[in-house]
Amino acid sequence: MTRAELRVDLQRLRENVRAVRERMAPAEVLVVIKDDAYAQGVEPIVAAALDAGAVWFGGIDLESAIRAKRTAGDRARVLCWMTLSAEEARLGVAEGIELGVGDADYLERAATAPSSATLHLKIDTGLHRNGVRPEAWASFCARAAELERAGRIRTAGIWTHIAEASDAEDDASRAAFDRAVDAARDAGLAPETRHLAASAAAWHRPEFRYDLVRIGAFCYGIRSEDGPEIDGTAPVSSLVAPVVSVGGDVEIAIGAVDGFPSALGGRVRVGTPAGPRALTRVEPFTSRVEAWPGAAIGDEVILFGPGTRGEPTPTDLGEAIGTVGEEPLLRVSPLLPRVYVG
Amino acid sequence: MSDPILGMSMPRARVSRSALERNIARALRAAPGASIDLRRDACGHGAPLVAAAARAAGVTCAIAEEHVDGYELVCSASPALPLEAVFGLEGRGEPAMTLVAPVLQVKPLYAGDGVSYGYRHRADRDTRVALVSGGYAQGVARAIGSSASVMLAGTEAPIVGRVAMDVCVVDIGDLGVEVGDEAQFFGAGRPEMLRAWAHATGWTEIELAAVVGLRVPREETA
Repeated sequence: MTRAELRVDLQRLRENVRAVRERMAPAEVLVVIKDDAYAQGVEPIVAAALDAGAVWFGGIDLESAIRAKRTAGDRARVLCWMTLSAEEARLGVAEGIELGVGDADYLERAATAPSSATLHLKIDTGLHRNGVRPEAWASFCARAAELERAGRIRTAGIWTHIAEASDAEDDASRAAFDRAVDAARDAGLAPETRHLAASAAAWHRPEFRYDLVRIGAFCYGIRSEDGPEIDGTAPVSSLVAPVVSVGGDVEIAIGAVDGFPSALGGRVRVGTPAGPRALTRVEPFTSRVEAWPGAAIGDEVILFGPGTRGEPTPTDLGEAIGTVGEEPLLRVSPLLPRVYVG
Repeated sequence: MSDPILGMSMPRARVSRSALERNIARALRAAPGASIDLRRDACGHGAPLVAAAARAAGVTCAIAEEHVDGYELVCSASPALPLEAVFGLEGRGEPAMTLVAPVLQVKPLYAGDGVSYGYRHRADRDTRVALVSGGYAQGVARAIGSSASVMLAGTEAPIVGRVAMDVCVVDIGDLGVEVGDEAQFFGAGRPEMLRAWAHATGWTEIELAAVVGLRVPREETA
């Protein structure tokens, strides 16, 4: 090999998705494919997840949602939860995307699509990002019911995001969610899909699963920061760079402008043909690794992966520099090729 | 997919041709005959634009991964203009890249309310917050939450709570901010903003700017 690549193991993904679906049953699993399926490529990821039985996909950005829907066709439903402009919302509806709506103005924009928009209404249960605040929820639902009677929208779901700050605070959010579902029904809406939990809460707390759980990280084998390994899953992606020169140390063809954080230098060990070796320095275009006997140009060094070849996992890397495992994965430059195996 | 409608709710990077030209001309005076480094799409600033700006500033050779019109590839013995000086980073020159993003939603936040994952931030008074597009999937480093600010309505407004994968929350108090307004994360006229990112992350300004430029839609400005 002559340049760095992100190697994505689709068989590993299928196994992860099966393990997650088994754990969550009878709740359904929405496989989160936002941001180009966590920078791993929407189309191959969606195709492999369909093989593993996935029937829901979703994410925040409209582009990833549309690409997922075009890949899955009638085999899966796709939800987009960005607060979109009216033009984007119409485009999404035309593509068969369901919209997550947590804002009164956005509800009006979503209702302007030529065909009826299928919506998931979002209550803010404490995260205070998007979502309608509880004191505004009754009038929001009343307006949604009015638009539904006029044939402009259909309310398929009620949902929220929780903070995962503590069990007690998450319980309070769940109680607020239950009240919001009741209020929506009182307003005349008939949502059939309630969803609240993402990876960690869904995995560890069955009462948070409701009808659907939204799982990104665990499908990709990324455990929570400072969290336990997740049975039956392992990281899907490996970041691999070739050796480009050998001297007192070994130079590899990946650097900080490829999205490999410079702060990792001196903080982690990476996987070499001779086992784990210290990553000593990350420069803009290349990085330095402690030498090993017989190191040769073209040898593969693994910067992150499932951990089977002496390399750290994405979450191990994140923890070394105070962040989550998703960030080192999502920073991997789109200029590096994605290579699919399995 | 190149549909312009798709990008409306997303952050975007504006790269200034004139800032690049001024930076490169200044750097070239300090290192006559040096080449321009165009690798990795000119560190996310766009190789064709940076090549054109360099040509206008009098640079005649480039270090590149692919052939660039009007350049001959130079041997590695030829020094390159310092990346920081070309792109206006680390206090050298002026920022060539500006990251902006739309306000997606504005809402009240009451005293005691937590914000974003883990409730790392709690409001100490009744205020208003703006949900701004842009998170660590777009290169907005997660560590800048509760540490850096954005410019909104001509004022610095702090990012509160964790930066999520695609959005962050900004405390706007009484500022006159509306949905669709543009927040500036870093760039033109405000070199200190990216410096604050570097301080919060321990990462370099060049990698912070590069990953943003590679991740988000980019447009050229004068």
